Amino acid sequence: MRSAVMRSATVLYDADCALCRNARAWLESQQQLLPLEFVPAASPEAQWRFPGLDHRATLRDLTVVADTGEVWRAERAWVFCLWACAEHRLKAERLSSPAMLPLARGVLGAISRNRHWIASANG
Amino acid sequence: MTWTVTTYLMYLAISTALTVWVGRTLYRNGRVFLVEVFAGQEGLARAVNHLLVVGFYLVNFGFVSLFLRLRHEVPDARASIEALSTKEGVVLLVLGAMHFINMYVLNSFRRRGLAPRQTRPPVAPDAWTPPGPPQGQPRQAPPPPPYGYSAPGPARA
Repeated sequence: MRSAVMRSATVLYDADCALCRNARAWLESQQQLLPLEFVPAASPEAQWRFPGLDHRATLRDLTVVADTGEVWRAERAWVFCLWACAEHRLKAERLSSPAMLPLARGVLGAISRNRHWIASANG
Repeated sequence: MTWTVTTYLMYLAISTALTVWVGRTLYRNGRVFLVEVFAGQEGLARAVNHLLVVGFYLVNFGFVSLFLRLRHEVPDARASIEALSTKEGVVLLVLGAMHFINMYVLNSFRRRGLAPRQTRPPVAPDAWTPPGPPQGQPRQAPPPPPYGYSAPGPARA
């Protein structure tokens, strides 16, 4: 496993989903300890930046790629995003405990699978 | 001086000694934590440590004072020792609980202080992908793949 020093990370989010765009706006408004860049998943730019990545999978689950090339997906990507924010680093640590991570997987997985429905239900 | 008053005086002396001992232990060892948390800012570490210990003394002396009164007269030495033992047992348990609360507070300070210095997220990565072309290049109209790069899509030999 690579363990070079991370300087930034790219968040690949579903730009067609209102919930994800809101999440992106929220994350952008937070003070970041690790700079996050946001790129729509499976967009030409994402494919250009990460030619080796399975881009269909990035449309299913939130994906974070660090500048070291490491990839985090689904609930781990969420924990990563929280960890990158100054205000939420301790929450990320708590969420990453063996007791909490399966819970996060269940909740975030359910939200993620129904994200289009939730977004349309909320107008 | 009756046995009751003697018991009160002994209770106050022992409780004060115990509280001061635990307080000083906290003060000495808490400093080490806080100096690390406040990244060498000795003055700030000392101030926070002092404030924590003052709170500790206030709560404990308040409790010792409220818990002083015996509900019955103490007739002899045996009854005095029994009464003292019960009182001191409760005081020790309260001191122990306060001590653990203090340690929890110190440790949460420490975690909060160390968090911004972490260089790795708390979860391991799922995979690795070769980083693409250098970032910071124009983002509109994705540029063609770099020379020598072979990817699916329009081939550019």
